[in-house]
Amino acid sequence: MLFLLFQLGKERYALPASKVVEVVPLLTLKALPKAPPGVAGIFNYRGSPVPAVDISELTLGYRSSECLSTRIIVVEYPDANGNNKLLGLIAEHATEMLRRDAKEFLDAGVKLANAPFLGPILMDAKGPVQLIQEQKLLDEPVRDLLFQEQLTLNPPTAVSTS
Amino acid sequence: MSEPQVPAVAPNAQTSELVACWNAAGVYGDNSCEKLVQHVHCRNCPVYSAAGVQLLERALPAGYRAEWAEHFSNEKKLPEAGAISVVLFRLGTEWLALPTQAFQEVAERRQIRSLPHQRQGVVLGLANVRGELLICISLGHLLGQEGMPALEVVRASYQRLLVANWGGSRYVFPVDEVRGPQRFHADELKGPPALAARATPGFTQGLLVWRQRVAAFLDPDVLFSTLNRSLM
Repeated sequence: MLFLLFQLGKERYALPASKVVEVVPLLTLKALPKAPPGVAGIFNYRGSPVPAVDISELTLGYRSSECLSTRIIVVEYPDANGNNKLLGLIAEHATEMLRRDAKEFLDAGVKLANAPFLGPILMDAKGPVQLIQEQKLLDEPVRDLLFQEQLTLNPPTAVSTS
Repeated sequence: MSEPQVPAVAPNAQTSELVACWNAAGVYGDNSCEKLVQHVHCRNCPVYSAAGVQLLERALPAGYRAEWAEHFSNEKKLPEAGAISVVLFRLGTEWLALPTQAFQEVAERRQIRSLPHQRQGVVLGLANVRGELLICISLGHLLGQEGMPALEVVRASYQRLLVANWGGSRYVFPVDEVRGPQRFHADELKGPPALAARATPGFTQGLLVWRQRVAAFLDPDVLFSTLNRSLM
């Protein structure tokens, strides 16, 4: 399996490449006033607005440095209804790929209630690489905030009233 | 805006200086590096690729973010279905095009051995291409463009020999310039103007506009079948 590597602080993390729609350079974002911490803004991704979250800020509390190796990883993120929406993840040092067997990632054995996105760990020669479960990155209120607009614009056509 | 903002960013960008070992001990230096035994060339060495990645640890250039924002605000251009790939080449002043599939190779100009009793015809002689003797033809003669004014100013270094293979018949023909494979959409192929087509009308299936030049897109089926018949 192919993984995209990036860093949070000095630690290395990975996303399965199959979950990545595109890696985009750090481009100008439209800031969102009063947005919760971590929500960096909105950018125009091929004609449609896509929210971007800074995963350094989301997880460690400080913003990603503005350098060429900081990139926006566009992934699909399920909204409250389970529909996949695009989400940009601003990540530092998103410069390398890694090809490993998925089985080499071992269960970390530690589950943090406030960090459900941390997945299994690979012990690599260069240091550990932890898999990120990108679908658990956002708290539900933040997720609903980001994908709210699209929800009201495109109301689900058939809602079964149970 | 001009005041540099200093967010509470942990200093995780390595600021160690690049050591250009490839220029000293590597293949661009004296080849004395021990790692060359394993990696053969510096570009295979992790030190070299790590140095390349380190180049990305720089601050964004001015206008970088805005430029990419502009780029990604446009629709993605996917390779369109129905695209045609052609090789453009020039005979004298005339630009012509044939499908890329018709060509095997673009070779350097080389000596063409003339054949007896073939002074005036389409056949220029034989050319040695990778040890194989191929019939060298004059495309200009075949297309009835022999009397075309040749551009004297043209540099001889642009001249090439095109090795073509269409339906198993292989020929080479000298051209004055080649512009490698170019992609066009089928919509870009314009019908030839009734009077302006200088080439024998049957050969041209349309006109392609490339960088303000108009190239006649030749029909390879017609061209090569005519060629085969003329050599019988």
